[in-house]
Amino acid sequence: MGSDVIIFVIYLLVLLCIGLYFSKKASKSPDSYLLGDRKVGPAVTALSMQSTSMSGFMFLGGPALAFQQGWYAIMYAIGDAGGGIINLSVLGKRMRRMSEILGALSPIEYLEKRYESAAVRVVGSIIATVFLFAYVFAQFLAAGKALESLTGWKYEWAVIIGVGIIIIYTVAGGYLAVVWTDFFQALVMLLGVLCLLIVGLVHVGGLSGLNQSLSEIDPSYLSIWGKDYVFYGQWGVILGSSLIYMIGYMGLPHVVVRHMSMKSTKTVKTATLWTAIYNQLFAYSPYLLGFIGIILLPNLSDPEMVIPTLAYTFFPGIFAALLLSAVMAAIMSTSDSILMQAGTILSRDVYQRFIDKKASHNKMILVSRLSVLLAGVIGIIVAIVQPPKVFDLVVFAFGTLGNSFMVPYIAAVYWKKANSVGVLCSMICGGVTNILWTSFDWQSVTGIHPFLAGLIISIIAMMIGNPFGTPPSEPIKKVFEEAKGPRPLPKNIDKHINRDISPEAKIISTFIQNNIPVKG
Amino acid sequence: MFNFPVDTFWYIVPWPFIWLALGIMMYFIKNRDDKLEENQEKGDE
Amino acid sequence: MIINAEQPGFRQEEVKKRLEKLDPETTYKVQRLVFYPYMIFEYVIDRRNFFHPLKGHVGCTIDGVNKVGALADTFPQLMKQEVSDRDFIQPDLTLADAKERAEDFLYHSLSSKKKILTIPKLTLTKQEIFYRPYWIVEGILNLPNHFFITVDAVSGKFHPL
Repeated sequence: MGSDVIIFVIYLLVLLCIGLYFSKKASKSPDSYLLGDRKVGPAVTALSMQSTSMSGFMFLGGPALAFQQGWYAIMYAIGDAGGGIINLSVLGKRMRRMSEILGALSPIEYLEKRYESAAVRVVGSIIATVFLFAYVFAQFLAAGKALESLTGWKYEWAVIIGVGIIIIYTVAGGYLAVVWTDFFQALVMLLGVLCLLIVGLVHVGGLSGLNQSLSEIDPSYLSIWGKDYVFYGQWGVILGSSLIYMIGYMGLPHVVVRHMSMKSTKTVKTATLWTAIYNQLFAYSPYLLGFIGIILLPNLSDPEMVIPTLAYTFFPGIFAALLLSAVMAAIMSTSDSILMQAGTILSRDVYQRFIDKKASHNKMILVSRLSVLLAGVIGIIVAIVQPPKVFDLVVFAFGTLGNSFMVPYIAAVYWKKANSVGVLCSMICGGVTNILWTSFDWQSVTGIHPFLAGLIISIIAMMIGNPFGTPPSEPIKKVFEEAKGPRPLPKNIDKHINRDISPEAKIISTFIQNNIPVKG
Repeated sequence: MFNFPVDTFWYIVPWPFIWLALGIMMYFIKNRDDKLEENQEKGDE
Repeated sequence: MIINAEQPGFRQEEVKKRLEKLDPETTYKVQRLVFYPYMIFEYVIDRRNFFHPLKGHVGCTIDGVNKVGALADTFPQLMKQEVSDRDFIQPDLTLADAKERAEDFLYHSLSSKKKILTIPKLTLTKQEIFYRPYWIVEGILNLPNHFFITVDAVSGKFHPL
């Protein structure tokens, strides 16, 4: 156990160094603290987005679900594996262009500017702050839980140490630190999980052996309808399970903010490719490990501990330590991005917007850092005093954020007429639906997943509310068109172009742009 | 295949390939867009 | 400044009509003319022997900025015209440079394209710097979605900018 802790500590030190290194660069202006000066390359963009999206849920909650429900759980993974590609393809370029034109730094400010309404900002800030905090508290709990059972430290200390590290590099480095540490952690997560999966599959005789053994234990593990076919024929559940991570990311403020910090719109294409590859390698693995757990760990009491237990029971200590680092990596990379986001929203969307309109650069950075610090302290207290159930909280917070913000973000760049009334209706109705659906367990009555219900309601609310609002102003319509990017020439014109005058056209083009006589 | 029941196999196994294909397709679509953009940026006043 | 310019064969309204006939969805605004420099050289081909297939005149234009040559069938109709500095592009080579390029180009194209056995002797008969007018046209799909094309006012050929 001692050497595992050392490996983990070294790992944390490396992270700390990355964070501190970039924090030196970060103190210049709020723009660089909050968005890393929009200079982030494709591989870093893609991988950090993935490690942000995939939280501790992937290592604890996901495998637990797989352990309990069998192959039904893979529906979540299928959504997850495509989520990044869909997110980048749908929002990527347009959102980046629009946020740059609007000069928006935080994803909530972006919504306010696009929909020209302070109310959007108020409601958005409230929903975002509350559920981002819920989300990050769940991560803190997970961090404590993982550290406690893997190192033998007392739970309280485990929470304080884990959260402390997250807070330090978030506060010190800002977005750039978060982006780079996320990139590094995405690699560690991939390695840790793949090693574990390979060894695990060898133990159970490959995929065929795995399924063979599963069907001997209970054939319903092999269906997509859940153990004992509980969701049999309920497409609303199956669809919701895959949709939540497939499209839900587009509603997470701390995930979409990555679009706003991309180097150029050209980063998107390469980032999409990276995401596609990384996800196919990564997304399914934790669930497969859950299935392996069904066979190899029949007496496991806490399903959330499938991966850690597998590591310690069957593999050499070095793997376990690597895995511990990967689990913590997942938790930390999610938490620091969320904290960062909460800091941005509180400093820009609340403090600067409503409290001190003329806040200086230094003051903004200070407020941002203080709110991150405050969130950490509250988080630690919540995690120690009264830990709620971790993963219910994650799915709940994720679903609510997705249902509140996904339609507004997509409509912002795809529906020209979308306005503040429609968006407010959509945010509130979508979020509330998810909260009610989850709290009263309407899934078992209706056979419809809370996320799917929230999605449908938020779309309907948008359609109903929008006609009552004032249409977007001319400047916003113009921005909307510009965000679409350049359009191809009309077909018939394109067909009749005379290529032989293209040398002249090139010169004339430069000439009219500069309006000075050109030389060669 | 892999001892899956037939329907489970077809619900699950194609997805990684679909996503990968989509990822590659998106790459080329965006690539084309970028070229278009470059050409037109030159001419925009 | 006074320049030698070709006369536009296509007037403002004609260009607009032509484009809108091709593409009724778009509104075209024909904004202004830009004058583009060329140098033209006209030669007489000397028949050296009886079997030579070529005789008469041959012309070559050199693009005044890109320095590319092209065969010219007829000598352009030129008129003196007053234009402002904002409306014409300065050539980037001297007449002497251009002449050298024109002769290179002619020998090269005569020997390769016209399939002649011996190199004919060329005698310069006319040389001139002239300007060809190009229309600058804005196409408007729906604001602010617009693009620019240029239309050769003499031939009617067009190309996006």
